[in-house]
Amino acid sequence: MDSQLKKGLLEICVLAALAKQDSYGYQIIKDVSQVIEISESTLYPILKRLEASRDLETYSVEHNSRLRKYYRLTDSGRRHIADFLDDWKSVMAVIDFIKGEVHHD
Amino acid sequence: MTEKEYLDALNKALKWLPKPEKEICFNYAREMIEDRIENGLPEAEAVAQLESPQQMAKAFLEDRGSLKFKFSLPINSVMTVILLILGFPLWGALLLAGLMILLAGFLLAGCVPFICVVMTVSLLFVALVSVSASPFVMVSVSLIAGVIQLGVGVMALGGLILAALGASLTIPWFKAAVMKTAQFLRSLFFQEVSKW
Repeated sequence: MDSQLKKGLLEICVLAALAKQDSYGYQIIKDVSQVIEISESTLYPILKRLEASRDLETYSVEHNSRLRKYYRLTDSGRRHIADFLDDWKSVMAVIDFIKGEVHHD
Repeated sequence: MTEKEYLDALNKALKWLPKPEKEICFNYAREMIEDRIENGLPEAEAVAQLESPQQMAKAFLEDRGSLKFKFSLPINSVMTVILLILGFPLWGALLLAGLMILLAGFLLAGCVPFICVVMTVSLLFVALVSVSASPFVMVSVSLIAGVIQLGVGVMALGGLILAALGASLTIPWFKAAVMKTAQFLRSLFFQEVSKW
């Protein structure tokens, strides 16, 4: 997959992984890697970036006598997902067009 | 590799980062290992699933390197803009004067390494000519004149060593001073922002 495209998709996947409930690093990796390859070193800059753009917030919870960092989706993050899905409709139209033209020949 | 070995290696690879940032990266990696162990993986397996400490450190450092600068002045209202424009003859002149004083200071300070370099080159020339010419002077003019000539050459060599030493000390110092000042000036008008 094209790396720019993958970067964009990963970002939305990470946000989507937080849509139902707050989550933590390893859980996000497990959830997202079902559909797209993701490693710790790729997740880290994504989380940092999304936190900087206020698409998600963090808090720490004590868990088995250590701190675990949790990530929570914000309203801005939800809007971000919705915008992506909206955009994707027009991308799908383009793909349908490409497919139609190719099959025509 | 054990968890401790992994984290030690990561720590070492991140040694140039400031402490708070290093702590964030370190905690992130530790959490990833410990969550895996808690999930039922043996320690060695949990560590093996991660990328190498060096790769991990590289990702952290690259992410950190992605900073750029944004022009930012505290312009937050129309009033400020009006004041800025009306006050220009005052603050403009002061700013210009300040920059000129700074420039003069740097020109003055820059003379020291410059003089050292010029001295080094010219003394090298004197030493070479004097020392190499002295045997001819001894033969063709007089022994005394030749010995004096040789002495001058050796003195020039001594001076050359001192000047070169001075240059090698003052050049890095001057460079650092220029860099620091440039960074300070930039921090007045520009704000560091994340790339994304």
